[in-house]
Amino acid sequence: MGLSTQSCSTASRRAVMLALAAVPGVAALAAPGASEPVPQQVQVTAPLPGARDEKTLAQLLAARDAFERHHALAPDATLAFRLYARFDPQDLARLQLWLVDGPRRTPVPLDDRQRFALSADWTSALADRGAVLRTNLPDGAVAWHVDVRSPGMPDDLRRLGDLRLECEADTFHGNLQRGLRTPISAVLDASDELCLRDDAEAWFAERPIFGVALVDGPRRRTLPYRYLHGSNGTMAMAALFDWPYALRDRTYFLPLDDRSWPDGTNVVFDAMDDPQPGPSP
Amino acid sequence: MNTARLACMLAVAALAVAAGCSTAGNGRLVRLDDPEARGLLVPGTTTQADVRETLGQGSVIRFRSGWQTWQYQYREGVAKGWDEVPYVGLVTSRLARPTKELVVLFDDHGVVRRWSLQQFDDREIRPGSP
Repeated sequence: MGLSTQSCSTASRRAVMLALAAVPGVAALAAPGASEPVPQQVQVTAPLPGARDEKTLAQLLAARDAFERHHALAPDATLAFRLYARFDPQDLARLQLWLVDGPRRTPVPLDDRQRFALSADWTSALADRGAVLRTNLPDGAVAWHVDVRSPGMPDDLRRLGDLRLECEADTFHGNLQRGLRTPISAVLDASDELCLRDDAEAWFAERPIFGVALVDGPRRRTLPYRYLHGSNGTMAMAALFDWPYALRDRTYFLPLDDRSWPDGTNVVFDAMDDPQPGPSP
Repeated sequence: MNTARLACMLAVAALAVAAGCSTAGNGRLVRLDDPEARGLLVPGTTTQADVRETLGQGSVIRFRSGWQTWQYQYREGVAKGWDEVPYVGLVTSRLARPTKELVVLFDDHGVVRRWSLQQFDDREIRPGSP
């Protein structure tokens, strides 16, 4: 607020001076000499920054608590948080992140996939003081996601237990993804059954996808198209979710309600730019 | 309304809707098989106009890249919307629903890049189901 007031008053003074300079008589009085050229003035203005995309540290610590409660889903996995560009992929090139604790602002390094891990210094006392993780991008430009990875998994493969754990840590615990918070969701959350709904969590593949399959040894299920690209829902409330814009061609859901698939199941992606498969033998 | 009468009404409703089917496009999907699809949908060659003429207009999903998918579906039995009807949905969501689905992917020039054709049982799986 102090910055805003100061900037406004400075701008007002400049505006008055320019207005006075535009009146011929006043300009002549203000000029050092009638024959001397009046120095040119350049006024540079910039809008004050609006709200930045951010999450509270309390949300991230809640996600960590849920991750630890459900760690059996992926015993070897580590927890991180990942930022996606929700509207424009070019935003990733200028994305920065800080921990903001009152007047103090500490940069948070991101890896090459815009991920960061919780620091040991980020305590619950800090969260209680209202600390936030704040980006330099406008509010709404970033999709935040819990990122759980068991070691050794390549880009085109995810482990189902890792994704189940991401859901447990995120949905209604860390509460990071955008979505509708309905009364029935609150009931399911209270009974720890929210991640048994197949629309509980939206995931984003590394590349645009045309198919997703669950593979457990010889058992394989190619998911119906309703699990991809948000194709099963109406776009009427799309703005309330993370996936409808830049991330839509990478978006998939999973049949979380089908517990017959073990946590070690592979989630395999068929990329849009992969060639058309040949006929089945 | 007594319980027996309510149960009877539910059973009649379930039987009535179970006889139906639903489809998207011009209905050709019903008989479409893999060899025929390979002839109709040639990546790099077949255009949106070709597909519309052959299969009708599918449900369109557009992406920021300019690419898009057209989805065609044929479902036997009860339409999925009945699952959302109180009480009736308890019955209909557990009925077998053989479903055939074709998805065609077009690039930003409107030319086919990929397609997939599959059949599955679209029965709802509820927590605790075998």
